[in-house]
Amino acid sequence: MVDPANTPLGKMLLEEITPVVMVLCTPLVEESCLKNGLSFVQMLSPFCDFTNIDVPVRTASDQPYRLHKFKIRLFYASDIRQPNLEVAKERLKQVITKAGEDDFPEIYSDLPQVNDLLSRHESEILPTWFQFFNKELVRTLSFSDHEAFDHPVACLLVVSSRDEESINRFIDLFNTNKLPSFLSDGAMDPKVLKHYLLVHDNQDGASEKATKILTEMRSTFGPNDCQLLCINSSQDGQTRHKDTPWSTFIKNLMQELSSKHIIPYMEQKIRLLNQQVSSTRKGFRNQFKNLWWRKGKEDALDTTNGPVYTFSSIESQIRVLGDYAFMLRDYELAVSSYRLISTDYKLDKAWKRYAGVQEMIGLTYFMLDQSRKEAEYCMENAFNTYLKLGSAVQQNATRCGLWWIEMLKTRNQIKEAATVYFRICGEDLLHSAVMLEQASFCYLLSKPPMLHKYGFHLVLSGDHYKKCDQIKHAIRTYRNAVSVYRGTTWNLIKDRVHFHIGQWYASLGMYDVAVTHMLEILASSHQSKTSQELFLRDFLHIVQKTGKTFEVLKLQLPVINISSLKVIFEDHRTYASPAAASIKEGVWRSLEEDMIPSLSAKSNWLDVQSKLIPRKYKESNICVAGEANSSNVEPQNDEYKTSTSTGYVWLLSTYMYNAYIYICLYVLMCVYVFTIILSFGRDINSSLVLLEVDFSLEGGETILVQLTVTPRVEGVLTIVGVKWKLSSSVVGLHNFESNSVNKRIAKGRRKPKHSPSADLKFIVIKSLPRLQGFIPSLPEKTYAGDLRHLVLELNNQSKFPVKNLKMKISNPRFLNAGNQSYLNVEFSACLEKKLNVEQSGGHANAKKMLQNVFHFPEDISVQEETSLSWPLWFHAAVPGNISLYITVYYEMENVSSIMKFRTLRMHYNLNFALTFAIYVLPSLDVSFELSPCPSRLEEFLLRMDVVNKTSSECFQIHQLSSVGQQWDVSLLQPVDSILPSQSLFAGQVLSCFFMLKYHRKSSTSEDSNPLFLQSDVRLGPPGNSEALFDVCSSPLADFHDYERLYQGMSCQGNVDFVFITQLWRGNIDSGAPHRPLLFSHHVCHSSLSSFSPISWSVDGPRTIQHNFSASPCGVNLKMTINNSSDAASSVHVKTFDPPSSNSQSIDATASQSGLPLENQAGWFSIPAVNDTKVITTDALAKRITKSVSLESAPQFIWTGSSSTKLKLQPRATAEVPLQICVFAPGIYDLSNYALNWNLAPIEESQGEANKSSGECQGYPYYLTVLQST
Amino acid sequence: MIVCVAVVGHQNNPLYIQSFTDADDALKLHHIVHCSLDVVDERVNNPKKSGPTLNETFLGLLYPTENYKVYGYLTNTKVKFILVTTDLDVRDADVRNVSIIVPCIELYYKSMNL
Repeated sequence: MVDPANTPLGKMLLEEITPVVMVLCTPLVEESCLKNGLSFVQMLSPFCDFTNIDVPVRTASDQPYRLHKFKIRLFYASDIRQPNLEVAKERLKQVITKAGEDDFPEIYSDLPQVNDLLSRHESEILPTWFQFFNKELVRTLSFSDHEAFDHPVACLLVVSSRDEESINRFIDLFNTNKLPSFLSDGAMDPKVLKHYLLVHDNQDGASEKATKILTEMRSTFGPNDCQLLCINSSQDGQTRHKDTPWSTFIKNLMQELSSKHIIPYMEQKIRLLNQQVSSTRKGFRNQFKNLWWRKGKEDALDTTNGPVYTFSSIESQIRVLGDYAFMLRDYELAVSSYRLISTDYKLDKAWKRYAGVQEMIGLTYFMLDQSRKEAEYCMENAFNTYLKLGSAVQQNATRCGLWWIEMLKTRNQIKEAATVYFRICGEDLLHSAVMLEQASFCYLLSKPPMLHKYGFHLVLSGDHYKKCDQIKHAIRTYRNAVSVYRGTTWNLIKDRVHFHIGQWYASLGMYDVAVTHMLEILASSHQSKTSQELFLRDFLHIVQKTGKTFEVLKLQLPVINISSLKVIFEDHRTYASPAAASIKEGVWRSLEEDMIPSLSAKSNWLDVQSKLIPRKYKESNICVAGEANSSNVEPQNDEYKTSTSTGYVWLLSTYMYNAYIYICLYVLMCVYVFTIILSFGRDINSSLVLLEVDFSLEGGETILVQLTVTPRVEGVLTIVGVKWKLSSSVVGLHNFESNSVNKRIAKGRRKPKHSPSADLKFIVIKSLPRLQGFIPSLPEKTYAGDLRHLVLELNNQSKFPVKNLKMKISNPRFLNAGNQSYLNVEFSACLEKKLNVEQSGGHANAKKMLQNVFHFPEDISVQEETSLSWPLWFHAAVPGNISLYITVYYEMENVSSIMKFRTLRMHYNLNFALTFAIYVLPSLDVSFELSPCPSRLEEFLLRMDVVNKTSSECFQIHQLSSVGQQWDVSLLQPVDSILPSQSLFAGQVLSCFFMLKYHRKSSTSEDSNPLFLQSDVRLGPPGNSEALFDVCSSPLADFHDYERLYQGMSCQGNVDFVFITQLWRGNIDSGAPHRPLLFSHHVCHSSLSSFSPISWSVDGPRTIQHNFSASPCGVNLKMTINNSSDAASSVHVKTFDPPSSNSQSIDATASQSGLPLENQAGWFSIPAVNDTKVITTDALAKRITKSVSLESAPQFIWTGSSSTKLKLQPRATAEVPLQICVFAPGIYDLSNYALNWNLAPIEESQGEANKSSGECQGYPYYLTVLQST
Repeated sequence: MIVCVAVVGHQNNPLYIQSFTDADDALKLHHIVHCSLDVVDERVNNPKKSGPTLNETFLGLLYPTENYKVYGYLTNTKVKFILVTTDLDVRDADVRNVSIIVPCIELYYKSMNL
């Protein structure tokens, strides 16, 4: 432990608690001193501090000790009184203000760092003015009447030799009423040690007169108490102080005064007082008496300050004893005295005095360096007592607290010291601010540092300073606080701190610094709307005040989502639209696979290129001069919820110029600009041209900004960053390369080591032809089935023709390239059936379908600065969202003839790609159902069900066609009867029946014209002469082929239908309203295979007249059996006679039993008898049945072979003769036979749907036999 | 009355701060919670000083300010729960037993899907 006297507190105490010498002097003395620019006290003060006075001291005990350090304090009598509080405060305020000016941080100095602060020594961190301020604060408490150590120990009476009647002056001096109040009001013993000093100014002449006066004084006041001081040795007063010999006089004078007068006087007084105290207060008897006496006094005295103690009271004497002992460093005596009196004051409820004594006990213990706990306890006790007394003694509490803090600091209890600082804070905001700041430093310096509290107290302190208009202090504290909150996520606090610093700097007119702080809070997305508005408003206000345009590297408003940065550029790939560029590279690759000659073409070119390009640029991207590069930068304005900030965004680009590569090849300079080219020149700065994009962002809004660079000449283009301007005053700058976040380059060739900087670097090569293309009037939204004629326009704006065009469409079901002859034809008319036109293309389609690449005719090329139109067919096959990818491949001619590697460039292939997204709505739901006619060979009933699924559209039904040349379609009933208007309204359901007949090629003659076939049925009104559409030619046939492909496996025996409707309203799309839209619905593979492959019909007479009286009637019938399958089959026809009982019952179920069960819901041919006849025959039959059953004998029998077996070749027919014998007239159902068939297995399987065998019951065949007369 | 509940991550980063007062004192409560982290650190680093609550996750009264009392709870993952109340005469045991903090912690775990 260090000597307490050497601690800061010890030093402070040794300086502050020392004997006071009251100075009384005449005006002439002051006048002489003022010649040196000093007052008398100022002149003497430097000589009052003795570091080695070495005086033996003996106080109460018999043991003498030596005093080495000693100090006396000199005050004019007029100053020995309690300072005016207001004046003191004003002085303290000045101290603080001055400190604020001195300590104000440099404008551009860095904000303090916590780690930096922690690594530095305490003395470097703590502002030096704290010590000074604390001392001044303590001094405002001087000369309180309850503390004796400020009471004058001696009185120095000074008279000038020029004064008339010097002796009387000495007496007058002490008798004036200038004396301190406590001398007169009895708080202090007026009998103080007096010392008389005569000052002689040497400039006034020789000192004879002074010597004479001195002699006179000595005789009057005693020989030892009088001194002569001669000052001002030189005549002109200009001599230096060092040379003044009289300074040593003063020194000796003061030392003599101290050692020979003051100290002995104090010793003597201590002994005297001690003796008195011992006699009255020490010993058990005295103590008891004292207690008894005080108890009696208790009731009488009830003032807040306790009783008034005069100097003669034993309490005051003990206090004086204690203070004198303290000043003479007899701490043992001091503490015993204080303890003695402490209880007295407590009993008397003289709280202020009690606190004062407690304070002194604490300090004495500290100086004794013992009972530390006790010392602290006393200080706390004193502090609390002062606090309880209220604001009147707030200053005392402050002083006590400061001493206590020093004590704690000495003992390294820094955290505790901080809490005391905090408790000192009272009503005086300014003082509180200083105390809080000191507290914060305590937390910083505590081990381990408590940074959170450090920050908190700094903020508190700053707020207090601000309230007292000490802006500079406030800024300083807040700047320190930033170090705590920076880098944390305590954003609410952090933003406020920065905001206030900014505001305060602005209030000082230091806008530049203010702006830097305000910038920190712009990205305060977590803040409430009001806060954000406040922040932004103040920020812009400050920026305006500066009158400057700031360029800020990391402006956080708006936030740039760097991960959304995308650079789209074109090398061998060019894009028709940004949408096309945003498609994954893989999609295009797969599409172009079989179109690009080979990969080697590309790599060859690159290889050669890389030989010419230094390694440095090897990984750079390549773009073509004159073609735009686009960067999409997405600013996000997610923080300012409503405020609108208008600004500009532009892309900043510079270039790198490498003479080595390009000097021999190209022009020397390269300039990269936005869309407009601006300047050429060797000066880099002048060649940098910026294009502005103007936009405004609502709060929380995110927009994508697209910027375009069009390099005009060859060179290297580097995209550096983006710059934007916020509200025309702040420029934000974002450097892409500085950001380590991996940038996505949309189309860049990904390499394992793909550095972001390489992504943003482009080698610009010479201009190459570039096709532009688009498809006008491509619908964005349409209904399923829509068939359109479109035109692809390819535009070559370069100076070179391109040739060898190829095109591939991702989804040929929807989009097809047409024949060039269709280019200018009138749509829908061109599809109409034409007579005498050879059907062609049907077979060519198959080829096309295989490879999907459309080769433009060899002779087609796009000449320079011309365009090419090419017909396309569009068919909305199915509802849904459709994306079409189209790539067009082309080759250049005669390009780069000036280049060395011309031949290679020839093989450089540019593709051209288009993409469209179309939304196809569901329109008509068409389904077909086929049922065979039971009694007819190869005839089917066709039911078509159409549902209009649109919400509002009305379709005009037009045509139903069967595809292929094998089927006849005919209406079963006129459309008028089902759908008189021919319009199918929204939600309407239409069912329509057709007869479908197989048109067997083998059965028709070779020269039969297929046009005679009725493969198309017009569904329009009968009188309508509108032409039918030809489903067998392009494009309907093409699309139908694709539909077949998509709708399932192709197998034999299936029928495909095309149902065509028209929509007269042009409201789906802006397409020509006067033309009907054409819709074709393709239904493929309506299956026939589920039916029995064997069909037959029985032919024969229906009605016979016969005379049964002569003979039974024999009837010959012919059964024609058809094998419609591709396999040979064996058929077994069995006839069996009806059983005797119910054989002839004409039963509906029996008549239908011949059909497979699953087809019962189908369509059956009713026998060709009219209704009335049926009824009569029914009636007749019943009767006959009855009679037959009575007779119980069959009415007819099968004659001839009852079982016939035959083999049928594939797709062949055979006839089987049948014969019956009828015995009686009547109506007979000849259905009692059965066909068993077996298909011979074929090598290749035809699918599971085909049955290999089956049995069919005979169809009803009614024979009417009449009795002939 | 509980005026503020805060969850602070192990890096002393605020995860959640909710104040339950009508007054606009969010900043103040942020400061109080932020400040109390020093005390938490202190207790964690000097478990001896915390006396009877040794090895317990409940940190008890962290520090009393003029108007508030601040209580703390520390999870094993060094996530801190800070509770600021205006009840100046509340006892530690009450805070612990009345289960003010425990439901908070349960909710926190739920939100973490633990």
